[in-house]
Amino acid sequence: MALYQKFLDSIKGLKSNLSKDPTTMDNVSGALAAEFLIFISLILAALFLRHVSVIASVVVVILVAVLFFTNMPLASKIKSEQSDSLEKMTFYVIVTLGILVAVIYWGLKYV
Amino acid sequence: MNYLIPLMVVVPILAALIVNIFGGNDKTVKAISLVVAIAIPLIAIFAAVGVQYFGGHDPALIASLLPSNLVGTLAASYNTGIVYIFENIERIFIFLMGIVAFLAVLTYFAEKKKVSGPYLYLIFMGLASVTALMLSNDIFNMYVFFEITALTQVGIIVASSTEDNYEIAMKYMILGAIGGPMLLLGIGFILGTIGSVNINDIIYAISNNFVNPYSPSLVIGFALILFGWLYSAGLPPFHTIKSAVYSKARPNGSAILQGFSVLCMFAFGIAMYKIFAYIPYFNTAIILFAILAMVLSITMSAMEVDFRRMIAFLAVGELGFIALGFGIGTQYSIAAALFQATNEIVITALLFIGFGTVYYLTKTSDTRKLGGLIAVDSTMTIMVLLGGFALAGVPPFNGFQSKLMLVQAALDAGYTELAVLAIIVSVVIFFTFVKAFHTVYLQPKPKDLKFAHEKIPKATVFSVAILLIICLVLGIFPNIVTDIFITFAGGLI
Repeated sequence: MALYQKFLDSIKGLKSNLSKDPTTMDNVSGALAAEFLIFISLILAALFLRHVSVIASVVVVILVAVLFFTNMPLASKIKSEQSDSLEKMTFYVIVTLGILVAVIYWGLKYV
Repeated sequence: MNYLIPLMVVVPILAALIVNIFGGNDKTVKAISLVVAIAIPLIAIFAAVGVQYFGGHDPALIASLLPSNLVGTLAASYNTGIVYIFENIERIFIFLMGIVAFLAVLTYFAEKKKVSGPYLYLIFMGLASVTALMLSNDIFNMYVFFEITALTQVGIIVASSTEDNYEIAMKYMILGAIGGPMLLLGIGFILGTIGSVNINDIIYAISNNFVNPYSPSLVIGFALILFGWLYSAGLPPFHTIKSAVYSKARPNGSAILQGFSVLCMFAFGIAMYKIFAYIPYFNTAIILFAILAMVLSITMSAMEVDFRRMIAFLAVGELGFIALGFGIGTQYSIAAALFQATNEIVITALLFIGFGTVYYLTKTSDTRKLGGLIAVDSTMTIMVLLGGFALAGVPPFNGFQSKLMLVQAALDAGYTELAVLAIIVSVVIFFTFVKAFHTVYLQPKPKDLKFAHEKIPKATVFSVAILLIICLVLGIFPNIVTDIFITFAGGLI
């Protein structure tokens, strides 16, 4: 029950993180759907890693589950990170470029 | 020689120049625009499948004139000029893009009394660029036309006169200043390693071991071209700016912009698949970005209160489905991805133009200020609802067929978790659309809601109806296109 209560509290806090407008069925249901989608997709993406390495997949699934329940709600955090701020967009573009080049260039040496 | 192939690019470029010159004369501009907009899909239908060698450098002809010491060498097989390849798959995409452009231009004329020459110039120049991008078999030529497309996209946003459009256009240009040069740098690495930018030449050189397939310059070239592909398609980390771009253009402009993105994604995706599919974990990398695109974009759309931004995020999320099909990498999944790309061009155009009528009527896209719009035009309301069903993958529409193909392809390839994810994302798309639809059309009309226009122009209703008919026809008779896609995908693998 403690886990359930924690989840419920995080959902209540989710709306206030998103905006200061009056809470309506529309935005609460949207936030809930987003939160569930993130959780399920994270688990499924972690399971997908079994095609690369089964051990890595098991470790990532456990890590994802733990990280999710200790960092709820994720939807509002993801929303704030995906704003139209040029700084944030540029940051993620540069990080992705760096990861791609590093993983592909050095990673292929060990394949 | 099939002169209709280069005409698919030349005609819109000429139209772009002419409408800009006659910018002040509305009747002339409208007449020229409509004739050219309908001519482009017609040329795509009547052009015969074939190859166009620019500069008269047919390789077979040149090979017969080569000195004997060059015969059989790598240099002898190279194409020395730009080559356009036109097959049935290009016919389908250019035809559909032409239809969307025609309907968008028609809608623009109906909703705007005084037309803008520069705005139409940008539309036609963009259309010419993406057509060339589709036809070209030369990655540098593709890059050049992609940059022209990106510039026309920026221009279309600037010419749209919506709130914050300049800011978003500037941000897109700044991020493009990272994505575009990286793509060019990747192409430069390929040119430096192989000595050609023709896709067939590159494949020939790699598959016949004239170069080391894992040479550092080729590998880094792949990484940079993959990054450029993410930029051209609007996949993460470019999904936020891409959705902002769609939401800041006029609805008819957004319909065209998303079509441009799909075609850029298709052209570079196919080129990348042809050249780099041998690289280990190539498919895994594509799948990871597909998952990111689907989840991040659909999550954002579920929490969005601006319906134009919501559709924009849904459009980017649908790109994730296309990437997923490419990433799974089987013949059936690539065919499903191509079908999904076809459907996205039509469905998203329908939703941008259809939902755009709400913006036309009320000059607001904030769902919290809207309601009761079913009373204004019930026909349009129903068509938008059916368009949303097509997007979410509800039978008997085309979206259902392509998503079913994707799910089947994922299951056949052993990616059960991806099939489940695709279904769950489709459910959330359905939920998001129904939520927005209910808010805008079905809930009671707010007392303070004011109308800028009383009625929706008939041309707009006609445009949405045509797009809906295409969705229905492709949903009931998917074989019209899927047979061609399956054959093409078989050749690709």
